[in-house]
Amino acid sequence: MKAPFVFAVLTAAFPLAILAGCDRAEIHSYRVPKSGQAPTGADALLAGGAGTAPASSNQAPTRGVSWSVPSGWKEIPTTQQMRLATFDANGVEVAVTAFPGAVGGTLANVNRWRGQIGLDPIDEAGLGPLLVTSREGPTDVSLLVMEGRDAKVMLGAIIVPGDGQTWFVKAVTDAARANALRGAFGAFSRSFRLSRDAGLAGTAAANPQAPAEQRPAQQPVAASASPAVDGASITTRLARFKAPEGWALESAGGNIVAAAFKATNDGGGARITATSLGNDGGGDLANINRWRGQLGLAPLAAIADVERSDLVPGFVTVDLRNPEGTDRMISVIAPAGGSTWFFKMRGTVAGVEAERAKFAAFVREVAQGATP
Amino acid sequence: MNALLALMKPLASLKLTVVLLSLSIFLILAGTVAQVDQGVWLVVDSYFRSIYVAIPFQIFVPRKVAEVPGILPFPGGLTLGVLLFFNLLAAHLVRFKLSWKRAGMITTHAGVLLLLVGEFVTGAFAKEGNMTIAEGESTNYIEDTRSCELAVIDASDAKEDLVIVVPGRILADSAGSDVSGGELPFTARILEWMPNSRLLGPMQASPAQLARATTGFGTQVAAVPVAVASGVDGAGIDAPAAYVELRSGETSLGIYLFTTQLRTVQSVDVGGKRYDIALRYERRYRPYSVKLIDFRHDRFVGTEVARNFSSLVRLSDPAQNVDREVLISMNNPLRYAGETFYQASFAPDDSGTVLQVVRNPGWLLPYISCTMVTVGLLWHFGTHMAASFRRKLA
Amino acid sequence: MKGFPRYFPIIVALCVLAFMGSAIGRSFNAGDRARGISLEEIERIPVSAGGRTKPLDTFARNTLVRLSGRQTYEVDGVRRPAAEWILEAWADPSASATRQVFRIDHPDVKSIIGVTDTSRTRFSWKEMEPKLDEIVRQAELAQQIGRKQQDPFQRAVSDLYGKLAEYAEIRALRTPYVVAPLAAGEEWAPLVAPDPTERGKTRISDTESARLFQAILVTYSTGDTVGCEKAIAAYSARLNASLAPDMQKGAFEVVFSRLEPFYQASTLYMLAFLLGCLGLLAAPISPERWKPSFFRAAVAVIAVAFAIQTFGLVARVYLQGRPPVTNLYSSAVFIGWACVPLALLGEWFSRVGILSIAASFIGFATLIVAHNLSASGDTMEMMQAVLDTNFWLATHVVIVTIGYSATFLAGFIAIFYVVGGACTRLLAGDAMKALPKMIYGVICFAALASFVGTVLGGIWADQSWGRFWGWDPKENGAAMIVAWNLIILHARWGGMIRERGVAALAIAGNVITAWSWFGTNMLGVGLHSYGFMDSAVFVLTAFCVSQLLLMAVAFIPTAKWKSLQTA
Repeated sequence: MKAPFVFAVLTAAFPLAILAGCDRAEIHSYRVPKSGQAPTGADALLAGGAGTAPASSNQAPTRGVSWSVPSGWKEIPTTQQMRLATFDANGVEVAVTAFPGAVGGTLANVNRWRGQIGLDPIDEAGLGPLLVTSREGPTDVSLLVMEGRDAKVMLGAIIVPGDGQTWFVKAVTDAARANALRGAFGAFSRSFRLSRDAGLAGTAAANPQAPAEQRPAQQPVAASASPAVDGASITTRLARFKAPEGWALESAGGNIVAAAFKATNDGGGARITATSLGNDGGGDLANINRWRGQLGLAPLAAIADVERSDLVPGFVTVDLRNPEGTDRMISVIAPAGGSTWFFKMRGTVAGVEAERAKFAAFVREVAQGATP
Repeated sequence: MNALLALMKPLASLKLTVVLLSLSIFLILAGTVAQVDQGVWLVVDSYFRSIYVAIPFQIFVPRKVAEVPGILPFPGGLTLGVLLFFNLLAAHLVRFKLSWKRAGMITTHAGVLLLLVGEFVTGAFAKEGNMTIAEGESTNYIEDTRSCELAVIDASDAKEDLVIVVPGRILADSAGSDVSGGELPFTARILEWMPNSRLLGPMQASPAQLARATTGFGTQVAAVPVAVASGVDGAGIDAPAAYVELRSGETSLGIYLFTTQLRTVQSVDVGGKRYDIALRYERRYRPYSVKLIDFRHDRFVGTEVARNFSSLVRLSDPAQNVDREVLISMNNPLRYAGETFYQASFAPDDSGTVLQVVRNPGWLLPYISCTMVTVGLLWHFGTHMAASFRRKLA
Repeated sequence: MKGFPRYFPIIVALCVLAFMGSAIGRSFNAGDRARGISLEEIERIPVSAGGRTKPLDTFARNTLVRLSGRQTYEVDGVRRPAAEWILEAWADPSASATRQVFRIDHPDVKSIIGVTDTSRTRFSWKEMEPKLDEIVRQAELAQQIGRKQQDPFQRAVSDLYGKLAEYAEIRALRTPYVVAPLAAGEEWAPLVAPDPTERGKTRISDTESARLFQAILVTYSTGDTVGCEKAIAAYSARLNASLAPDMQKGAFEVVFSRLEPFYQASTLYMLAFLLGCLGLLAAPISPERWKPSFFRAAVAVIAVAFAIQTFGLVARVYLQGRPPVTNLYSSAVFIGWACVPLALLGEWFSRVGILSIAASFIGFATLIVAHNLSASGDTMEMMQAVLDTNFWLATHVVIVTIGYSATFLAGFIAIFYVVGGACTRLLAGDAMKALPKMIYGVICFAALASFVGTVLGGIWADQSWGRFWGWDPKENGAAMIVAWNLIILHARWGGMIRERGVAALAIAGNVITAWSWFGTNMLGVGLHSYGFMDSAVFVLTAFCVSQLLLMAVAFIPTAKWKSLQTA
């Protein structure tokens, strides 16, 4: 008897519970106390979901990005709501806007601009030649110049600084003024940076664990081209250096050993290296003692004890031989800006002697810029 | 009562259990695959908390492969859940017999009943929302980013604002027609309703698009509809927008663009009285406020992977004499006034926090039910296992 | 059982133990040298990448696996250790550029770099250098559309671009972070970083550890053997003083990487599988002597393999400081690990021998799956804060994974039962009675573990963000497994199915488990998704079709089952 009763009660309870759970959807009203602060703070926030920060936000554009304004440009007050800044660049109006996300992609934006100056839309293939794309730190910049129907020229830039927004810089003027503006316009567009911490933003790209598609696009070509430490002129001269007769290039373009040559001669030959370090490499004495150690010589206590060679005037140069009298090493320490370059030649005593002059010429040309 | 018994007998059949469980598996599969195109909450409502669902065949076939028309009518999660509930209940009531041997199964099934009730209570009564607070500021309302509302605010009173709210569901249902009634001081003609939208700036929008609105920021920016966020996009949030003509009697007060993407409040004059209007995510005001003192976001070195994030907040509720500091972090929520505040997200530049605020009267049920089922199953299988071992060792 | 067959299992066990002993011995000192310098200590030097401090050896191995699919690389046809590769990239870029480490499979990508030889799959930077512009252009075109819309070519060229970029980052010393935090307030940092004050310039770190690390690179680059060993010793001593725990873990991790316990275990499982099959074949010929002998040998080998796999799992827990299941890779390892003792327990109950074959097969298969999931690099990557250690999460993943394991095990025993029973005479007799009992028992256990594990996941979710059940795909997958096990049990209790039906449904359980394990990830939805896997879609489909075919075998009428026919 009991069981059916329980069953009946529960059966009846269900529809009631369903009814109770229904939301009302009707126009209603309530009163809230006036709060002191308008919801301005919240404006800057995105309405986020559980556990994740969406890449693109619904927020209105904010100034999370900084730039440097070219001299001669004046910021003028803007009346338009979506504009973040307007500049008077010697009579030409330069407008800066930003929108969350990719805003339809580069092609759509370029075609939108083309429409504004009376040009027909182009397709993906036509986009390549039109754009000059570069990467400035974490910021991607695409610049373009288009001539419209009524002889107006538009300078445009699409900038992705990595704040989840796409930034647009635009100026429309006549051909002459556009030409004059181009340099400053490009520099301005390339100066956009995330204002939080430019250095930190770069480290995201360095994270090898991030799947490739999440990583910001990066140019492997550029990364490989030069070690780009201070003293870039030495790097450049080293790259241009033509090996003298008897020297063969062994390797080039390394981070530490920038170039290595093998010299062949009757005396047993020698190996010449040019090495760069971003700092002083531990100090002159430490380096000299390291070299002494390689030749089996005892370390020296002070830099004053070092016997210097005058092979390459202007730099600390040492000429060392091992106790057995078989090996010889000539080393030159060349400070360059914040970095230090080491030029070294090592080989048999006779082999090094035969290459002395060429080595000195090499160091003078590369380190001092002397013409051969 | 005999009639009830006669009804219960077929309801108690194990065949029905198997059929219902099979249907449930298919429903769950469909509701999972459907999330490729649709938002998870839409799927939950239409598949798992509904009486009936029309499953499009298309969800099982990628659009790239073929376009498949047609739908499969199917019982919704609510129907299956209720039937399973009564199937289970009837089975035990019909065959009820208390013994040590059956104690395990009875406990387990009672736990399962409670689990079904728990999910039902959650579906019917639980409320989830977000509290978004910028550093140094305080918030006294919870936003539900799953639904929106048109708020018409009469700020004439010095102390309190009168907020007249039109739920987004009404706006969506009224697309192309008029909304009026309640305390609404005007008639709103919904010219276009966009469940999710994208904003076009002054340089992006065509003149025709900008001409759609006659007043307010709609003359400078335009909104265009985009597909609703799907479950695939993770925590995708829709940004609804609408073009609305406000009318007072026969006179037009202008065509406005309303969007949740811009929090700028627009105003309208009706009979000499000013009203502020905004389309915003549904708000629920609370008698207490939460102020964000500090937000911390630690990352693993050299990555953007979050190691931890936490919000130091001050909770003040003048009516209850509450004014204290609380640290909310991952897995360490704040429970207050029947609501629980979880660290959910943060502003993109770490300048503020997003707390998930949940009120669920049934939150304890799964814990009880889980314990019951586990104990019951262990008891049941354990006694069987022990018997096998005894036989084996004997 | 007399004579040689009696001692055969002992001999096999001793051989296997001896083999493992020597593998362990070798992994403590590999004795690798490069440029006359022992790599032993260099490999242990800690670096930071992906937010985790790891030995240079691990970073080099993971990177090589990502680039080339192997943990080693070849110099003139000779395999060399990964650490030597990364040192060469820093010390001698022009030589490094000639190493063929970039794996390219897609023929159209090969034709971009001007290679028509379809048999080659690994290429060098130097070969691609003239075509870099084109690769970059193609990759950028591909990246303008979403990953999911990309066709295989676009995906392949994006991947290649990612690999090249990664290599360039490493070669420029921007990654990994090699500058260790020796003093308070310091953090891991790259040796070379963009100069924040001047655009386009780079700056070299100037901390104590940067200098010590540079000294190693300089001496290594210049071939200064004595100086390099001194520099390594100096840096190691300094690190031991400041980062002792990292150094200890690092030293252990190097040994762990060399031992490759999961690889060793998989070969042993394979061996056990073969022994088990020999046992089956021997059954009609020598049922009293060789059959039990082979089965015992198989069990002995499985025991050794299981011990090594357990060591590997414990080692991962120690290295990571996290529960054993943290990602898809570790779930595969763990599922196999959990299945093996379950199957052996079943073997102990039934003594039919077939379960040791099932155990070794599952052990082998799951480790192969795991191996294929490790291609993305570091299998011990850091997790989002939300997936951080938590009691409920830890118990959830472990128990639910055991539930998945048991469901798989039931399915695999069912396959043996159906195929062996219907198509062969090998199972005639006791096995035909014992196996259905085992299937049923394992399904009971699977129902318990998957239910409890799923609910624990709900509790974790409730604790973390106040939502017990979110109808997230991964949660749904778990619910489907629970429901499936319940269907089998209720159908059997209701007399709707019997031995054959249970077996057929248990095989279908494999499909559902595979879907929940991998399929839900392929949807790319939700918090639980560990990542998208491309070719895996094909593998999964093939697996499901094969299971359905096996299910069809179960529908052969019992009268036709060979093992049930009286001889």
